[in-house]
Amino acid sequence: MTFTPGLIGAVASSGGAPKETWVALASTALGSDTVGVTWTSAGSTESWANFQDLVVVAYSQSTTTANGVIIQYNNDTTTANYQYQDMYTAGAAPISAGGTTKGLYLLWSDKHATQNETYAIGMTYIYDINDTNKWTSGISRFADDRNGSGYGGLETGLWKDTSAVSEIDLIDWYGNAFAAGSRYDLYGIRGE
Amino acid sequence: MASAVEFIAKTELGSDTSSVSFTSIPGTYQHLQIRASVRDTASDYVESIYVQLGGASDSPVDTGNNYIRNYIDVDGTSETGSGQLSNTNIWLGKATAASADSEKFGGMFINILDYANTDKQTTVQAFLEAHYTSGNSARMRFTAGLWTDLEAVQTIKLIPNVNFATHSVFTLYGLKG
Repeated sequence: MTFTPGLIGAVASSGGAPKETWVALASTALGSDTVGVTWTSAGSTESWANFQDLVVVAYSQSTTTANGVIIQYNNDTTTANYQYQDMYTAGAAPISAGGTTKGLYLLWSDKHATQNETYAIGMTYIYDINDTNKWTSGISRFADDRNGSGYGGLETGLWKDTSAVSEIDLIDWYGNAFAAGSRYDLYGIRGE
Repeated sequence: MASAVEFIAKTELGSDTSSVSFTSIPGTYQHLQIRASVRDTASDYVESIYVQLGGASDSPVDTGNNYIRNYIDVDGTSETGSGQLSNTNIWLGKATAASADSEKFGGMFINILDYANTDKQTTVQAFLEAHYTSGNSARMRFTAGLWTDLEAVQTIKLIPNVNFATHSVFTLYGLKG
């Protein structure tokens, strides 16, 4: 199957001005330690039904040691519904693992008692969120410096549900708070 | 305000399809990105998929031994890496295939950098995930590829082992410089 962009562009332009492809849907910047962040389609700047993919970008610090931020969809907390495969390095040879889990890791982060200016970063692509023929898949890339040591890694995750994604919950692995100064942003990517 | 990332074209499969191509790509962007949700119809849990590129002199893609590929694979608890010179394509890894649960599709992105610069050979980065068995096994590949040609990329062809499955979707974006 072949698509010729010129032809597609001609069709798309007949409906008016081009739409923004990447759209900021929600942003949460923490002014104090906070347990969890929730975004919904209804509470965003535009309905998620208008987008093909979502992207989560995080700049995060934990209030506990060596913790992580995971993504759950549509308030589904059932561990059996999520599977993962990861690979990371922590200053040595890479390590990988897979199995069922609580959700898709967005990033791993540390509590930086002596370097409070350092935050972990993570970015997750969530694919084809409105296609109800598919389970929802995502890819995360993350890094966190720990004064010379730290993490860098990749994770893929699958949510075994065909529902369109309409809610994203960011939670600490152990249910603890994210540290003040952390920031989480959600973007939509159009498929048109 | 102009968008920094522009939608160029999309292919969403209504039936199993032997390849997907984006043609007549304008040279007006700095970089290209393909985002895809993909599955192969091969009779296995995972099967290979590939990409080839083409410029003005190709018809429509370069099928010669003009590609270099390096990659790291992760599967369960093992990591392996490899690389090859003089290939006829860039091997993107293995996508979820027909023996896996029918709802399983893997995410993929491909970045094609500075694709219109005729002073450079074209570099490609790709990431492909495949959730495959009826249990929880998954694999992923991160690829660094090179097309050893100086032509501006005008065509991108994605090739499955057998067919790309119905409901696979491929979207091409242009990133402004």
